[in-house]
Amino acid sequence: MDLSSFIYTLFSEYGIFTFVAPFLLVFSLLYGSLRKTGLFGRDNPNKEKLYAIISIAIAFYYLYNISDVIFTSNFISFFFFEVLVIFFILMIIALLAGISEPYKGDEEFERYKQYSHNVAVGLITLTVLFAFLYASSTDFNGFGASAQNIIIEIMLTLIYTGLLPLLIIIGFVIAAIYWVYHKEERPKKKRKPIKIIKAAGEVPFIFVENTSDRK
Amino acid sequence: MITTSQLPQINFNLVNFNQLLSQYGFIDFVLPFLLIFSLVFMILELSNLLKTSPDDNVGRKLNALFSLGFALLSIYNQNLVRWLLSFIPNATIAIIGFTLIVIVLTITNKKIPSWLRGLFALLVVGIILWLAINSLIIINPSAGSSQLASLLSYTLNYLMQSGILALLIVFLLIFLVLMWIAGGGEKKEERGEEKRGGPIILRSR
Repeated sequence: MDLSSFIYTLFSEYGIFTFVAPFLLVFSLLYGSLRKTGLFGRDNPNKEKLYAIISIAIAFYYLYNISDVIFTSNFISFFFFEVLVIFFILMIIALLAGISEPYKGDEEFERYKQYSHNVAVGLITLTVLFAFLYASSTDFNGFGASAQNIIIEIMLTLIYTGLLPLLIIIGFVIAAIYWVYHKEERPKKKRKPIKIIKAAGEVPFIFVENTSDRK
Repeated sequence: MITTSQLPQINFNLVNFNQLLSQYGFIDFVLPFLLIFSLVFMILELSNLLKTSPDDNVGRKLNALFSLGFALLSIYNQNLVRWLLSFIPNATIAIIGFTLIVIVLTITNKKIPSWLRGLFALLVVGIILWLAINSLIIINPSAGSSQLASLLSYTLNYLMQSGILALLIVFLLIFLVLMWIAGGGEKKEERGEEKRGGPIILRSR
């Protein structure tokens, strides 16, 4: 057995992975949140002790269910991987930002840029959902199973009751009606795909600027 | 004449160094721990999530504890270590490649034109995402056999076998044709307006 496997086994045996690490994670998170929000008042002399006791109690309750701990491990590890991917993208974009000038477009371009920025923020928020789905798919017997079952049950009900094709057709009809009425209300404006692509490309640079401006 | 077989053999055991690092848990344990801990700690410090004020020492210690717990718990999932081993070397090559582009452009004293900047950014995002997905698939080929994936394939099979998918495609085609026909007139009108709004000399002819 090499040293890395030995360390891993040792840490597992002594509960570093299943007890110490999750305890530190949950305790610091709860204690920090309680301190920050000041839930029991700012002038209370015993508030720190109360925060500590509450955080310890909740952290131990959390540790009681080992499958939740394993789920958390999968959840945060995948999330970290996603953060690392974003980090690599931002590193390269920061390199390119130094030797290029921002595209100065018209009002329409600025609007597209704002839309793209909002979409990118939404996608980055979705990384948490992807991490949750990964953790659910790897942990069939634990916490993830119940989360998956809900989605599966909904889909199977839709298929077996024949609601799925009905919903799709209704969706098409609604889309067609909306399209017809939408055109009458608003004057048609020609969209320029090149502008949309350029606006989408400007978004990572905005992220780099925002991050580097932070103090 | 000396042939290649007669040349003295020099053995560079490059693998041994890596093996040595792996053996002592440097690659599997120390490196991922340092990377995760520092990144998470940096993000927490930037966001001031657990701090009451920027100079809050207790908040900083809590950030450190949270990062410690996060790093240890992440390493517990050994798949992460494999993803990192697969992703980081390839992504670093991408960084080197783009750095070389930057160096070359710095030598020529040329900047990336503003219209090309966005496309470069999209290229970077595409390459890094592709590398990330690749490393996930290579390391965990059973990812596609999860319950959710099988449910999706089941739904797709159902749509195909019941003929609904074909129906949907036909509907979609009809819809696209309708849009094309209905949208064509306005384009012509716009063009007409453009022509009408041209120079007076041209209009008078």
